[in-house]
Order: sequence, then structure tokens, then C-alpha cells
Amino acid sequence: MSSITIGIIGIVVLLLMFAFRVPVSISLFIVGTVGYSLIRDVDSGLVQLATTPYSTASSYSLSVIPLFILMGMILSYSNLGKDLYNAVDSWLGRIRGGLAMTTIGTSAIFSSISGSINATTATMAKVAIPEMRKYNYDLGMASASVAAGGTLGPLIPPSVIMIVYGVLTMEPIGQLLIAGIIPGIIQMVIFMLIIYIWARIRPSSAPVGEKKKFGEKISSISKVWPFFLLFVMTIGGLYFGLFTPTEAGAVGAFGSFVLALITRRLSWESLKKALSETTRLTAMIFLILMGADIFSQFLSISRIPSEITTFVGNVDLSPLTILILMLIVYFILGLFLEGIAILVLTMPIVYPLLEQLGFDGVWFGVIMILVINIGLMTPPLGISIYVISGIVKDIPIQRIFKAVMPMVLAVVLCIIILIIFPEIVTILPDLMRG
Amino acid sequence: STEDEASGSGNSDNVNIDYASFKPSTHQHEIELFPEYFNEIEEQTEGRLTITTYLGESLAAADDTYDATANGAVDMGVSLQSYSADQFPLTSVLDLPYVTDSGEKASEILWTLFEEFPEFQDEYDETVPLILYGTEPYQIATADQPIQSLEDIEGMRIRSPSPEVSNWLEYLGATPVNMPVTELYEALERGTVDGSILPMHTLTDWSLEGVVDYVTVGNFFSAQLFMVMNREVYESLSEEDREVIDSLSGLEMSKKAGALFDGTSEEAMAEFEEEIDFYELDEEESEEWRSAIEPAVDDWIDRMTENGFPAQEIYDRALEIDNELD
Amino acid sequence: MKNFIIVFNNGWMKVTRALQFVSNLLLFGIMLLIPLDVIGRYFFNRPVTGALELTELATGTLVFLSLAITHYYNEHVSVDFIVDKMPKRARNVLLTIIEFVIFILLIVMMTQLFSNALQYIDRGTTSGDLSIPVYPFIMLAAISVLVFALVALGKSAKHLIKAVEKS
Ligand code: NA
Ligand code: NA
Repeated sequence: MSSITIGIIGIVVLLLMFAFRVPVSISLFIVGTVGYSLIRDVDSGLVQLATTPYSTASSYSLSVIPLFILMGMILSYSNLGKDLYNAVDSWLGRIRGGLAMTTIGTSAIFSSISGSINATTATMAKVAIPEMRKYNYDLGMASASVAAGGTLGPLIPPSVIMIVYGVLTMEPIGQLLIAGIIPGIIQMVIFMLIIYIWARIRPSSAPVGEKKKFGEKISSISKVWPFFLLFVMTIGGLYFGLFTPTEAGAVGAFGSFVLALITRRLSWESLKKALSETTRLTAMIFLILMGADIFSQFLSISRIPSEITTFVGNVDLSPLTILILMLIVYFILGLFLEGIAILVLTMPIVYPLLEQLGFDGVWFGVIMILVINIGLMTPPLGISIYVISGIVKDIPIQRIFKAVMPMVLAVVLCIIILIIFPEIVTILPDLMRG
Repeated sequence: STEDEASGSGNSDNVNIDYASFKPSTHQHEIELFPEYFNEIEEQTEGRLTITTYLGESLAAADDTYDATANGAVDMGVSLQSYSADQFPLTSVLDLPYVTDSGEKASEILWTLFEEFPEFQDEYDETVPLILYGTEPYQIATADQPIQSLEDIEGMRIRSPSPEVSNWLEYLGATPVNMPVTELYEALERGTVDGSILPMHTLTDWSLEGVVDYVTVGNFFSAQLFMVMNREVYESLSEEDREVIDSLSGLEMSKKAGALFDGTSEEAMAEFEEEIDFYELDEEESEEWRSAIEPAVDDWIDRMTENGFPAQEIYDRALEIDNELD
Repeated sequence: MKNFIIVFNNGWMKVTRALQFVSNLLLFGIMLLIPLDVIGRYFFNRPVTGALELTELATGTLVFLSLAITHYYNEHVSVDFIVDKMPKRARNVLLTIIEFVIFILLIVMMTQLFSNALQYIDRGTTSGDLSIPVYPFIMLAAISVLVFALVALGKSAKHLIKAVEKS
């Protein structure tokens, strides 16, 4: 059997295992290990089974995840999250879908600066979804706004994936980072518009809040100072380079712990719960990330990503058709692989081709990040959705996947806009080029 | 892999070697030198050996590559010794400051030490080293503040690639910060670190020219890299094929790999002459830095001697080889 | 037999709880350690030596320690839509098989982790700046995976009994 055949069978088996309720992480482990063993040999498959998970679990850049989640848990258990949404409701509650739109904006800021979509999604899910539920928001809409907001991170600087793209293609990193800003804002506005339309079509999914007196509005604001302080401390500290994302997470968790203590909102019991829930959610997310790494090693050794991109690159069609086919390939890869892995596996093949077809490299970088992002919100391997379902346990995953579909369409819409009007992407970098 | 039919490597006269590298496809060594080296192996073994390349950590993370190769998860791998914690204590002699000032010489020192000292060979005994090479000298690159004296570096947060280097950075008065190179661009841009000790080719390889404004040229040390093969895989090859590999690897190939760094480094420095302010420490300043760093060398020798290694001999021999090459 | 499985699962619950307790402590520990490092760095020019590697070791360990209890609570995400529509007995048969497969996978993984740990002892591998031996952490990961495996085995047995019992 050729390695490509094994790769394809592997993907089919993976989907079957997902469908028959094998945990997502375990399915990735099994298919990845068995596939790797079949293509190389059993010994090497077994070695990967131990070394890859341990190295993933103890990677510094991923340690941001438990710390930010802990911050979210403490905020939630100490009711600081409740005060925040109370304030948002008193100011924006009269706008239909206002809470969901605010969630999108907050997630976008959080994700773009913390650099971790998973940490953002988990934290915001814990803080925002239970609150939106109290205001009788549809859980689907609440989940969709958290998932969508988180995906804006890689577009808005700083952005590790943009840097990796720049390193792989030799496109100037400064221009790439700047290029993502306007598309990021457009994407955010489209997400908010989707919420607005959704709330118009189905008013029950986003009830309008009661009208609040001005006094109430002011007093609601006065209660959110701890949250504001934390935001300035973590996001500000990160932005001004005082510390790394992991350190920001720890400072945020520690800060919320101290604030909850001095405002006497955190009992011993809730602290224990916050810690336990954090470690369990972390274990769940990391087991998927470990599995995804093993699976990704299997896919790279099967050579599917490089063969499929080479194939599409060599078809004799118009540049635009090739571009669209290429984006479809990236969409499919995005269903199964993590963003940076996709870039590393395909860019050496795809980038020279794009240059040859006359596309702008900076522009393509932005488009590709959008395409890869779709995979975060779609089955089979939509990690943002899995993270949310780890927090909102009482609705089935397939319902969350369905609820997020409008947001996926919003990303597609944004991609189409950027293909028709590439200037939206290139205007800022062009100014830089002078 | 040598055991599996499926990979088309069922018998010893037709073997596919899976080679894992953390380097991206844009890295100088992966563009030309290594592909040529692999082609040569394939040609001289008349196609009995083929090498498949997996770049950018797609099979093994940079800090797992040595283990992955030793254990057989991959057949062959390239990475830095400093990633594998204390697996390579004696190799870290090149982490000490002012041992040599070029990649080519660093590579010759490494390979010669490897050949001459059994203790040095022990560090690699789980694998078969094909190439041991060093980078061009590291310089100190900073984002906003130039470093021209020991006062300037006092208290600055400088990214360091290994514990040994961290040790002497502290003697210079800097605060060493550990950080993967992938996070460096962002860290420099945001100011999480003030600078980094770097070989100049990384300006191009990691596109750091956009965030580095100053470089203090002091030719501090050379980082070490290995290309090793899994021992079982190597031993399963026919004697004829092993001879081909041996003849193409070793000292000459190592020197070429080091020299490639030197060339890229010169190109990078010429290319960024306008954007980056290069400050060369003069004789007198160098002397001052040298005496500040000196205790780090004694630290290393003491520590290694305590562990039963002929540290003084190795250090002296390294300096001697460097002298012979000058 | 049924009683034995119930006792086993309950007893085992205590072990998984204990592991999670250690995991929580580690998380709380790095939550305190990292700000200490940041404060030390900025205000006293004295960062905590090895804060980075301690964070890595603690994160790695806390993840492994919590895997078992997460499985105990069925929190490792899976997709239910087909299984939900199956008759009860078929579902229990399927879950018996799935849990058993998980058990096998984890036992294999545990063996691999142990042999890694032995290798590290052999080599005397230690972490970067603090020279902490690495093998105890790998051992702990292996033990955590073993506990995780036995949780899966317990679940498999539980579903098997349900499948065999008259419904
Ligand atoms: Na970002
Ligand atoms: Na997906």
C-alpha cells in the first residue's frame, strides 16, 4: 500500500471513530500511531506515541492555556463576570444581540493580544456564555459569538502564524502584520452583522434587556473596576511587552485571585472548584492537541498535503480557478490540521506557484489565514467548538457546530470580498512600501 | 526505516531514510547543501539508499529530534545540541566565549574533538553522527538600545539559547531570558526582551532585520548542530553503503556546513548595513569583556571536571585547534 | 463480579481525585511562581531562576495528572449523534469495546513512557537551568496514564455488565 492510500484510509477511519463516539483525542492518537506505524514501522509509531504527547504537554507556549482558563474560572466563580455582563447589559442591552456583539469584540481583543485562540475561547466561554444564558440568550448564538471572536486573533497583530508565514515565504513580516488589520476589522463587523440579522430573524434568541435608568447604568460601571484593572494589567502588560502571554495568564489569574479575595467573593470551595475545572478542561484540550500533533505527523509522512497541493498547482486552468481550487484544498487541510503545520507542509510548494501566477504574497497570507481559521469552527476537528463544549456541557456538540455555521459563512463571505477587492488587504502594506 | 515492507524498504539493498529537520525550507542548508549531500549518497549507492526530507518540525520538534532519531521514530535528524538539555555536556565547550570565530573552524573543532576524545564520542553513542557543525559567531542584537560597553548591557534582558551561554551573559551583567527562537520576533518587537544573542544568518532566516536596530559584534561563541543517523538503521546497511555514507560525511562535510553559515552571515551583514547599526568591539573593549566573562570558563571546567570529564584538556585542545587554523 | 466492579470504580475514583489534587496544587503553584518572577524581574532585578522550565515541567505534569479524572467525568470530548439513536444494549456493547480500546492504547502509551523514563535515568538527563532530573516527571506521566487506563477499563466493565444484564 502506498503511503497516500494509508493516509486516505486513516482519514476515513478517523471520521468513523468520531461518528461512533470514540473521544476525539483518542481517535487522533489511534489513527496517528497506527498510520505512522504502517508507513514506517511499529517501533517508530510507538516512539511517537510517548515522545510527542510529553513534548506537547510541556511546551512553554501552550502553558498559556491553563493560566488564562484559571483566570476565567476565578472571574466566573467570584461573580466578577456577572458584574461585567450586567454593565454591558445596562449600556447595550437595548440593542438586540448587544451582549453577543460585545462578546465578539472582547474575544477579538483578547485573542489577538494573547496569541492563543484556545485560551481565549475557553476563558470567554466560561465568562460569557453562562452570563448570556442568564439574559436568555440562545446558547447557540452565545457559543457562536465566542467561537467566532476567538478566530480573529491571528489576523490582528501580533500574530505568530503571520510571522511563520513570513519566515516561510520571505514576505516582509512588518507588512504582513499590518495587512491583517483592516480585514480583521471587516471580519469582526461581519460577525456582528450576522448576530444582528440572526437576532432580527429569531428575536427569541437574543431578548432585548430592560431599559435601565442612568443611575443604574453608572452604578453598573462602578462595579466592573476589578475587571477593568485586570484587563489593563494583562492585556496592557502584554501589549507593552512587559511579559509573555504565559506570564500575562499567570498575572491575570493571580490578579483575579487577589481581587476576588479582597472583595470577599471567593470561598475556599469555589477556589477548589475553579482549580479543578481548570485542570480538567486543560487536560481535555491538551489531550486533543497531543492527538492532533501525532495525527499531523502521520499526515505529513503520508505526503498527502504535499501531493495534493502539487497536483492542484499543476492543473492547466486559469489563475483564478487555480486559486479557488487551492483555497478549497486549504479548507480541507484546515479541517484536519493545525494552521502552522499546514503552512510548513504546503508553503514551499504553493508559494512559488502563486508568485508565478501573479498573486500578491502578502494578500495571500491574509486570505490563507482566514481559510485555515474556518477549520477551527467546523467538524470533524473544530477545536474551538470542542473547547466550548467542554464548558457548555448540556447541549450536544453537533448543535454547537450547527449554530456556528453562520459564522463559518461569514468567513467565506469575507474571503470572497477580499478576493474581489484585494486593495482592502494591500492598502496598508502599500503605504509602508512607500 | 528498515523493517517495513510498506515503505518499500523491506530489504537491506533498498532503504528509504526519513530525515527530520526543524529548519524551514527557506533555510540555507536545506536549500542546497543537504539536498546535494543526499543526492550524492543516493547516486553513489546507486539508488539503494533514498532520503526523504521532512522540514519544519513536521515529524519531530526541534528539542525532540535527537531522541526521535536515537529511538528510531525517524531515521536521521538535524538539530541543535543545546536543545537536548544536558545530553551533550562536552560539546558545550563551544558555548564558552571566545573559543573560535568562524563556523568553519567551529565545525573542525567539533569533529576533531569527536574523533580524539572517547568521552566526547560517548555523548553521541546512541546514534551515528554524520555531520557536527558550528554556526558563525554569535553577536548581540538589540531592538532599541545600542550596546557599546559593559555599562550598556547591565540589566538588559537578553535572550539566550542555552544554560552555558546564560551563565556568562550573567557575568556580563545581562539578565538572560530563555525563549524559543520562533517567539523572538514578537518578543523583540514588543520589548519582552531587549535583545538577543544571535548568529547573523538568523537575521535573514527568521526575518529579524525588521526588529533589530543594533548589533554589537564581539564574536562571542558558535552554537553546535548535529546531523545524526539512527544506529540500528546505520548498522543494517550493507558495508558498501556505509562506506559511501562515511566517505561523504565527517570532517569535510561538517566544515562545508559551517562555512555555509559564515557565507550567509557575511551576506546578511552586507545586506543590512543600512538598516542595522553594527558596532565592533575594539581590541581594548574586547579585553575588558573577556576578563568579565573569564570566570564562566572556570565554572565550566570545574563543573565538568567534578563529573569526571577531561574538561581542561578538551578546552585547551579546542583553543589549540583554533590556533592551528588561524 | 458486579459488586467488585462497583467497589473497584469507587476506590479508583479516590486515586484519580488524589492525582487531580496534586494537579491543582501545581496549577496554583505556577500561578504564584510566575508573578513572583515578573515582580522580581522588574522591581528587584532578580528573576526567579528557571521559572520557564518550572512552568514547562509543571504544565506537562498537571496535564497528565488530570487526564484520568477528566475521563472519569466523561469530559474528553466525543460526538454522540449516532450512538444516541442506538438501542440501549447495542450502545453498551459499543461503549464496552470503545473503553477497552482506550485501555489498550493507554497501556501501550504507558509502557512507552516508562521506557522513556528509564532511558532518561540511564542518560541522567536533567532540565536546562536548574538541572532537575527529568525522569521522575516522565514516570509520573506514565503513572497518570496507567490510572487513566484503569479508569477506562473500569468503564468498559461497567458497560459490559449493563450490556449483559437484562434491560
Ligand atoms: Na494576534
Ligand atoms: Na475543523
